[in-house]
Amino acid sequence: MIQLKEIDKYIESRFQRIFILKGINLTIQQGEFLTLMGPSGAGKSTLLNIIGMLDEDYDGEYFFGEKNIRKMKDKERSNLHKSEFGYIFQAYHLIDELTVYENIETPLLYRNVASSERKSIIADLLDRFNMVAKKDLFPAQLSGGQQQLVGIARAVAGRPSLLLADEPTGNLHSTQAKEIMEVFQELHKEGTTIIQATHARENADYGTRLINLLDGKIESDEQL
Amino acid sequence: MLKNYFKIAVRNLLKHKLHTGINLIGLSLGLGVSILIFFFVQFELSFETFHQDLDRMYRVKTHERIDGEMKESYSSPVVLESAFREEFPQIEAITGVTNADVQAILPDQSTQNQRIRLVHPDFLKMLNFPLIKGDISSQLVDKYSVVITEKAAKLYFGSADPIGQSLQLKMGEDFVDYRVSGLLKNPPANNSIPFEILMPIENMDFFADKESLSSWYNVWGFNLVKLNNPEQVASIHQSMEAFMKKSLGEDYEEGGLYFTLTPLADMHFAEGAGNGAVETTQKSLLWILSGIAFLVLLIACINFTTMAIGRATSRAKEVGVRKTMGASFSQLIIQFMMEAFLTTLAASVIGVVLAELFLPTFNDLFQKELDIVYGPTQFGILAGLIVFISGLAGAYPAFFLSGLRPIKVLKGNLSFHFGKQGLRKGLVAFQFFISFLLIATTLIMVNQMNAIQEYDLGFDQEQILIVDMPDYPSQNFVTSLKESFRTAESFRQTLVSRTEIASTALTVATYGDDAFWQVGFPLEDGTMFSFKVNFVSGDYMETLGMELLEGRTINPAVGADSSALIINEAFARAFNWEDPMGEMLPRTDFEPHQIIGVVKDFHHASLYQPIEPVMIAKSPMAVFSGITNLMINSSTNPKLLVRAAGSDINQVRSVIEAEWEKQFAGLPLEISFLDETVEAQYQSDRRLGKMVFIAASLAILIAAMGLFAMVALSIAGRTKEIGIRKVLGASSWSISWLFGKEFIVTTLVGVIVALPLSIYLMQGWLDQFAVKGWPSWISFALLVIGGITFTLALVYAQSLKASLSNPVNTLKDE
Repeated sequence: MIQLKEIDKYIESRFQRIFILKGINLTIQQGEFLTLMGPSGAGKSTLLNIIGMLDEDYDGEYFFGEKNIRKMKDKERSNLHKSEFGYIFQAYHLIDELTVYENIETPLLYRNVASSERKSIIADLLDRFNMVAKKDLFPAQLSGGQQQLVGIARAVAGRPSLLLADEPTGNLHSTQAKEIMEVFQELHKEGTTIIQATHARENADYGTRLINLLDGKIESDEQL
Repeated sequence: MLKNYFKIAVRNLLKHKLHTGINLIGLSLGLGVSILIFFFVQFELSFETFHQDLDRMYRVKTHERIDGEMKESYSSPVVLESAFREEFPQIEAITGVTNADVQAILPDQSTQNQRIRLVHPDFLKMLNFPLIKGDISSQLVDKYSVVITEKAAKLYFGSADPIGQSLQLKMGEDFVDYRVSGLLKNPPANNSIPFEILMPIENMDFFADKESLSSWYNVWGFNLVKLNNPEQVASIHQSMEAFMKKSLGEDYEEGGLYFTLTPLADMHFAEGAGNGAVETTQKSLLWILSGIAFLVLLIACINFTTMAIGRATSRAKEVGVRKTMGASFSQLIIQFMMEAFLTTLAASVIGVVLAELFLPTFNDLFQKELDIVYGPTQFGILAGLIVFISGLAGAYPAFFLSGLRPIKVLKGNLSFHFGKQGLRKGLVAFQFFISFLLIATTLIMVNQMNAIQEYDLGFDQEQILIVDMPDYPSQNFVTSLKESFRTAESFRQTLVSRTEIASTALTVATYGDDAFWQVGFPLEDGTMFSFKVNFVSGDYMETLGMELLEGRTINPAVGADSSALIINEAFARAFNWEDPMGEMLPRTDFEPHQIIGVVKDFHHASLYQPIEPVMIAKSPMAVFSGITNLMINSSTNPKLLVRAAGSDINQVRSVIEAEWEKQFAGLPLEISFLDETVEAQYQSDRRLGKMVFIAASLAILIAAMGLFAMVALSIAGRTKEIGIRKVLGASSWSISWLFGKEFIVTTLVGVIVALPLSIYLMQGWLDQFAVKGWPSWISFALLVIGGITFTLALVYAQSLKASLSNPVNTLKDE
């Protein structure tokens, strides 16, 4: 599904290049649940951003399916981005001025989903994550775990084939974290490809593959 | 989607109440002022547009060579109407329009002054003043008939049918009966030729003899022309010289006198129409007002922009999230523009209310009767303003925010820094610049107006009442002057002995609007000597407190001093007279005369004009016998100047009223104050000064609110820094200075650019005055110090509060 070839990412400083990622070669199959681990500064988030097409400032080749991302037109890339990717953030990044319902609705609006279809998709998601009673609350009125659930619901609302999560449990305590990971596992079973970056080893156990990064290089790559 | 944009915009606006409030107040004030001004400008531009075929209607302009100089005027001779009609087949209709102020008898038998317009029947045929009653072909045909408007009908006949009724008007020396033949709708407000009563122009023979009515050099009122088609203007202009040659006969001189046609559509903005014959507005006033409205709006828009950028840190996250969810650049732009649009929309509603509230003050200030009506044009202006302001205020923040890269703004803590500080500061400096420009301008204007008020005019204007004495209508001008003076003098004698009154005098010219008459005669070398003349009674100089340098004043005894003249220093200087008392006027056709005194130069006209040679005489004959040129700048009836003995003006007034009742029962009594008449000359500049002052106050208010919000945002963004600095031992004052120095530079830049520019701009305005009063450097310095103190006070008040907060709270989480 995803193929990365010789990905380099560096910052040009006055006397030298500081590499954040160096020579990354990585192939990810459809249906994998991959965990990126490593200490702070190892390049987890950077790699995730590159895969998520949020960062386009790198050297190397990136194929999504058959297509070379770097040779795509802006419009094509934007459409791919909309239809295939879902993002989950450590700080949830819900829009404070919107209710739970409206937050989940937002990506659907950008995908021009018809009103009746939107309603049914959101109703399903609220039901699934047990949030029906909270649909009219604002993010500030929810606990962290609940906010992250909304974040996940929002990410999957557009039915992406690939879900990217950067430290999804970083701001949560362990019970809440466990709950989130179980949701991930369930989504994975349903066929969604998931890539997560995390510090916590126990989170990796929910996945199928674990990659350890160190100083911008892949140190180990194991199937679980 | 739109609903979603709308929803988030409303929630965002409600969440940040302070910013929304400041934006709303600023934009509402700006819009209130602009709505008023733009509606006013639109109204002024709509003058005359209600006439059909406006494109082929013209007013005749007279070009005459006087003293070797071409003079232009919109007054034209009465004879022109019939001559043009005969000569030019291109003319479809033509009418002379002259005014007369006559007395009319009201239903209760009292009299009042009534302005009438004397016109040709074509007047009603070419102009769009519809008749309610009466047949158009029979109007203004019979000499003793009038056409009146609904307003006049109500005044003279109440609710009765005015047609066929008789109206008594004092034409010349006697009252004459006029039959009402038609009733007109009241002319619309955007009509430059206001009237209540029209009468056939044949009635001019009551006011002027045959000779002057048929003279090409005697102008009365103006002439309006309607052509068959607008292209014919050129052909008329071409054949003008030949026409003048034929009409003037042996008086013809090439280019000495000719006429041109100017579009009727421009009549409202023509300069120097004079005498209230045509209602005019200076076009420059419209430009200045529009400029002021634009500046105030600009300041309010800048507030919106700087605050939106200031809040960008918190909005950035939202942009990032939306972008990762697939929002496109243009979708985000629409969302942010929606906020600007909604704010402007709300502000425009408040603005309309404010405009209604400002309206009476505005009308008072500019002596207009603007009425806000909401038609398609007005809604168009309003819609245009809303779109323009939304764009001006919202565009930059919308593009700036929508262009943010999600990876930057979503990376962990939102501690990224904007490289846009410079722009924000630039915008704030620009606001200061505009505000200070307006304030400095106000300062210069106020100072000049005070200088004028305190300037020694050469006579004492306080405590003097002016009483308008009755006119003596006659075809002979000198007779009219003599007779009216005689009646007035007998009235004056009854007041002389009263203890409430210090002194009295008669004069024909007072001190408003260059009222002294302009006369002239040719010198031996052929050049024209022009000077000012005024006819007065005895006690004139005593009443006004003028200083006599040589000789004596006029003998008040009736009949005495009929050949005596008094001149001013400028007059003596003009002839290089060492001893003016022994001199004679250098022309033989003056009747025997004697210069009896020299008065110290005084300002006979406004301070816009220099002092000219002036002659003061008791008898008109001594002057009129020798002059060849005469221009009458004021009404010809005598005015009685009454100096009060004490401070009780009302007492003096009642004395005058009682005497008036005895001698002139039934005639209208009009009393004014000399100092107010003098003051009235500067009214338009004083009004302009007031308007600039109001604009400056609004600008300062809005800019100050903007600065307040900016400082608040700046502090909110640096609470952590304040906390850390405090922990490290910084004092509250040093922390405040951190913010103070940031804004002080901005203020200084604005002030330093504004001051010289305002001085440069005002130079032109001050140049029109013969007496100038620049503010001292101390006032300018105080202005700068005041501005900086104001900024610092605003900054310190807030930053001190922030720096006094406990660092434990600000450093705790995040």
